[in-house]
Amino acid sequence: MKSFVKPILPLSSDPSNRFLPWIIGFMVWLATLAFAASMILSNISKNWEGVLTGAITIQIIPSENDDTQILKNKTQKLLALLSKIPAIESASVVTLDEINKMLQPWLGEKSLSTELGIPIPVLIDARLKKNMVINTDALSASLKATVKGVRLNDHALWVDRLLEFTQAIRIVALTIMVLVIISAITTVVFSTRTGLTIHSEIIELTHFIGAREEFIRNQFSINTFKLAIKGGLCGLITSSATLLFLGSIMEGVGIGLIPPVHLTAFQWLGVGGIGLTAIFISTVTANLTAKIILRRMT
Amino acid sequence: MRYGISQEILLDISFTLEKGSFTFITGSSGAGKSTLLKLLYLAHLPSRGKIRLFGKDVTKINRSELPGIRQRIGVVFQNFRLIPSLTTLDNVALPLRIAGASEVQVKEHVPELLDWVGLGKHLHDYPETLSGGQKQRVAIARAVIARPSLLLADEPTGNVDDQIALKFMFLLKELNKIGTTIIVATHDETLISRFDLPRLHLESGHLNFPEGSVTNGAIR
Ligand SMILES: Nc1ncnc2c1ncn2[C@@H]1O[C@H](COP(=O)(O)OP(=O)(O)O)[C@@H](O)[C@H]1O
Ligand SMILES: [Mg+2]
Repeated sequence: MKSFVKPILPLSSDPSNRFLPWIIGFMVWLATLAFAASMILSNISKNWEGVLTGAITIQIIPSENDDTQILKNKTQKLLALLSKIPAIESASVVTLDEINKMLQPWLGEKSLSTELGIPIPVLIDARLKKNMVINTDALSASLKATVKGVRLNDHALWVDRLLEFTQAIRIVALTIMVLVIISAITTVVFSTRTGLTIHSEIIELTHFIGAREEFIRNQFSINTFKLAIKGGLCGLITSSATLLFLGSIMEGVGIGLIPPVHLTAFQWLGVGGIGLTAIFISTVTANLTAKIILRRMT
Repeated sequence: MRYGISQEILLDISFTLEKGSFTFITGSSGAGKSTLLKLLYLAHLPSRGKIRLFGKDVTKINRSELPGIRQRIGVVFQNFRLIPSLTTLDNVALPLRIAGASEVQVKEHVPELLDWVGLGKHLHDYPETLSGGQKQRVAIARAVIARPSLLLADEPTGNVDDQIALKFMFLLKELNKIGTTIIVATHDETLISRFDLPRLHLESGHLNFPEGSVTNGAIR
């Protein structure tokens, strides 16, 4: 296809030329943020999933007359039992220090058992071997038979909830992206149609001079391409800035439970890809719109 | 030929023009001169009948063949139809660019031709800053820049003084000498009488052949 860059139609003075880059920029901004949100959530849920699956927490709730020695015995019994189960890789007691560290955001610097005077349950963290499934009901029963006051938490339920949640967010993000694409296409169709109407006289003239359909179509796609580059770049720059800004805020707050709000390098490429896609879609839309309308005009 | 659902404007018109001929289409205002030219530059299709151009029946060709045929026709429109947003140079370069000529060719030929029609100093001016006569010369330059085989001019002398009208006619004579077929539509009797050229005379949509006027009245 012989493409012709020199503009013949005065498209740059069309009203749509002023707002098209803004609209495309805003769309790209929205789409990249939606994309980034779903990516970050999937990063987070992958983190959590990794921690939560393949682990079982066992609590020993102290009864009223349990002293430290009795608790220690119970703990030893349980650990011995757990070590005999083939699916379990390792089991260890979560130390008071570790518990304190985990609870620090809520309780501050006070240490649990000494200052608050609450008897704390013993926590045993058992890791499953990779890809091993365990019958938690059977395990729970046999643990309870060995030691009274044992409670078993497997995290499958939590993981399921978490996955459902991130799935929902992902669907929302996807919907936003689809809506953004549809409205971008509509905008380009509208402005191309307006352009064809405004300049119908010049277009007719170029026909008489022997212009082929592609010649006129290229006028529109090249013009839209330029505007989309402008808008796409602005959208990318502002959304990157937004993401970096949000990331730095999250880091400043330093909530230990939420993993850092970062995109991987590969996901940054995806963000760039959205910008390029927007430019591509706009250009192709302008070209096809012109094609369809020109067919109808002559 | 008819416009929309109107009466037929051109009726029973049948003529053949030889390659390399130079013909006037004459007739009073409203006789159908512009309409006939529009048929020839393929702006309209006739409601019935046939038009053969360059040996092809243009009422039957594929639409993808239209641009190729139109590129062989140069037109000086009645109201010039220059593109206001383009400079003199870009207006005249349009047919070359549409035909896919390189920018090197554009740079070489367009200023040369504009120089020749006396617009060498106005290459970068926009149409609105030009006088009527200058606009007309731009329109002529645009019509001939791509060396058309057929040149059509609709009332080319309507908006300009005699001096320029004559100059234009001599330019057409030159082009005719190198083989361009030329048709000029006009109702300007002084112009017609100044040149001894065959004429197709239209009267309310019908064709008259004044004595010894047209080369050949054969039916096609
Ligand atoms: N676009 C049009 N729509 C309808 N009628 C038209 C149109 N153009 C011209 N006519 C009519 O066709 C007839 C011939 O017009 P035209 O070819 O312009 O004559 P001329 O160029 O000889 O003055 C006139 O009666 C005119 O009113
Ligand atoms: Mg006329």
